[in-house]
Amino acid sequence: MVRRLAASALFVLCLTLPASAAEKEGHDHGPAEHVSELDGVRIIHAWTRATTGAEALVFFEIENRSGKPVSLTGGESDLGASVALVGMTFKDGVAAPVALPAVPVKDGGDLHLEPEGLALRIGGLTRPLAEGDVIEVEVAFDIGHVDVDVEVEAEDATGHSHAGHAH
Amino acid sequence: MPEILLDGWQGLSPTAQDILILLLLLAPAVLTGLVVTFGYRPFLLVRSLLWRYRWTNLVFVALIAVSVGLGVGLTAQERGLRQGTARAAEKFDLIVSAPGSEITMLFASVYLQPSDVPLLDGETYEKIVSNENVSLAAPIAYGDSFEGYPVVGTTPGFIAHLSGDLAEGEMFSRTGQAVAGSAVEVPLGASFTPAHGVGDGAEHEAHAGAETVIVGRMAATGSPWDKAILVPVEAVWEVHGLANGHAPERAGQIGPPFDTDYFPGTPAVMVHADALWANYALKSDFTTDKTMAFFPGAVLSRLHALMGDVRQIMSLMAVVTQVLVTAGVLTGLVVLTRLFSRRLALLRALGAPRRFVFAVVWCYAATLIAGGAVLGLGAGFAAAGLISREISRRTDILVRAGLAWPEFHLIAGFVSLTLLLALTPAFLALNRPVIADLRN
Repeated sequence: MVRRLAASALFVLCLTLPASAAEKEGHDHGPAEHVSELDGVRIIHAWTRATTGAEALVFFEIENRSGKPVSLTGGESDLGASVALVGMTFKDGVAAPVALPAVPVKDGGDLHLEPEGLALRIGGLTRPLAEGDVIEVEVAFDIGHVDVDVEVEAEDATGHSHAGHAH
Repeated sequence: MPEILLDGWQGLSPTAQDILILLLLLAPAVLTGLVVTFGYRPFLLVRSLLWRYRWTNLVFVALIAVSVGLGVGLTAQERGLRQGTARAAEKFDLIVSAPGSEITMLFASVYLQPSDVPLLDGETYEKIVSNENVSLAAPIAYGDSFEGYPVVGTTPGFIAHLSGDLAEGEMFSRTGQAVAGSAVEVPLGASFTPAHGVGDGAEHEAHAGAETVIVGRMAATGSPWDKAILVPVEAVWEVHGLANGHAPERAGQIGPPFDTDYFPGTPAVMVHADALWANYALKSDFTTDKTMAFFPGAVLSRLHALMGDVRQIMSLMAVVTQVLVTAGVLTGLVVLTRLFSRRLALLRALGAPRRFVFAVVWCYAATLIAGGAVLGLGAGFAAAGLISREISRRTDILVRAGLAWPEFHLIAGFVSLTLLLALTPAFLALNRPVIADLRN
């Protein structure tokens, strides 16, 4: 815990100067699209947690109605140095993200990216994420890329605030 | 500059970060010590003061040790319990059951605290087994017991997955045979008849005639499964008057494949995939209207997060205890310096510089505080070990509570803070009237 506090303190210090300049960059307070689609592959309820750290985990649901299997491979974002697919593993009760190769989604199948499971990890965040922000992440599949609005929820959120609603 | 610091910090290994934090926490104490003693050698005088008032000093050291020991013991114990429960669940990659409470199923399947839950039917089981990503799918059928030991029906594959090679004996090869957990106090070759149910309400005569012989023993797993007796799942079905999972022509078979039409049902299926990513795909595949899939590790992690408030309260209690004792120690030090005020006055009358006297008082306080902290570290370690053994005995979950960096950081912070505050009694001792003290 002390390590995390120390890293957070350094990170906040690091962001003090560039924060004001970067504030508007990639920032969108408008209503977010809850569904994005790419050739029958739907991405629903993308969300992440507010953070001042260097990383953020992005979660969403994938519905594959494309008529063929697809693979989730990763992503890209202007807000971070990297976007990678990770799976959470637990050693002695401590969660540790492990980079994963592509994860297939069967035709007609669903894949849930959720806390303590699969996620897209944005590494090297260029600015803190505040609750209520909407950030854009390009989600990569083997069949192409799709832009997704990701809503920033509370720091301790466990799900999308709109979860459970049908789209 | 801050970015370079951040990059440098993130480039360090966790151990290097912990060492650096420890050094930073200790730095105020060390720097204060260097500044206070600069140019003087007060240690001989400090040693004689320590000896002269040894019993009083010992009480002070013991007080500090108890407070530090309580603080570090408490935090180490909480971590040990958290890690022990997590380790017990590590072999359970993914559990599939009928929809319901994940917590109930976690307690039933991993910690063998059975509940009445709906069963998964043969068709569902077949879907799980035939999934291309599944490398092991084992039914876990609980509900019976023998003298308090849960009797669980499963497959040889699950036992191999759970504990590796058997510690002694052999794997069961027919109904009427069983493999005991490492902590089951029933010898190899002994036979028993399982009771229907567990605890005081177990019906001892319900399975009369289902005599079972212990033929093997699992290696220790550090989980409640060490106190379980594992039997072929076919045996559990048979003693309950159900089909045994296989068509009549294969009625003597033990383990998979099972015949869907003769599969009576199982409360839970433990699923293992060789590839990590496949577990997530499987979880999505089996989260349906008819089935619930969950990672025990993830559910535990959520539970631990929910209990985070309790953890914070425990940490706060540890800190409050330290602060209270610090206040007590400092008050005591002021009283102690009064005890040897005459000696200090004599020193000053003989021409000792004020800063030398200041150094003597501070070093004296520092010795008591540092000694108490080191003793407290040992006391905390011993206390954590004793409590862990008792918890392991009561819960069958192997809890190993050792001291780790958070405890060292807590003590380093305590020592630094207290040594800085110890400057106060040193100043007070310096401001005492020399003549009056000499006359007393």
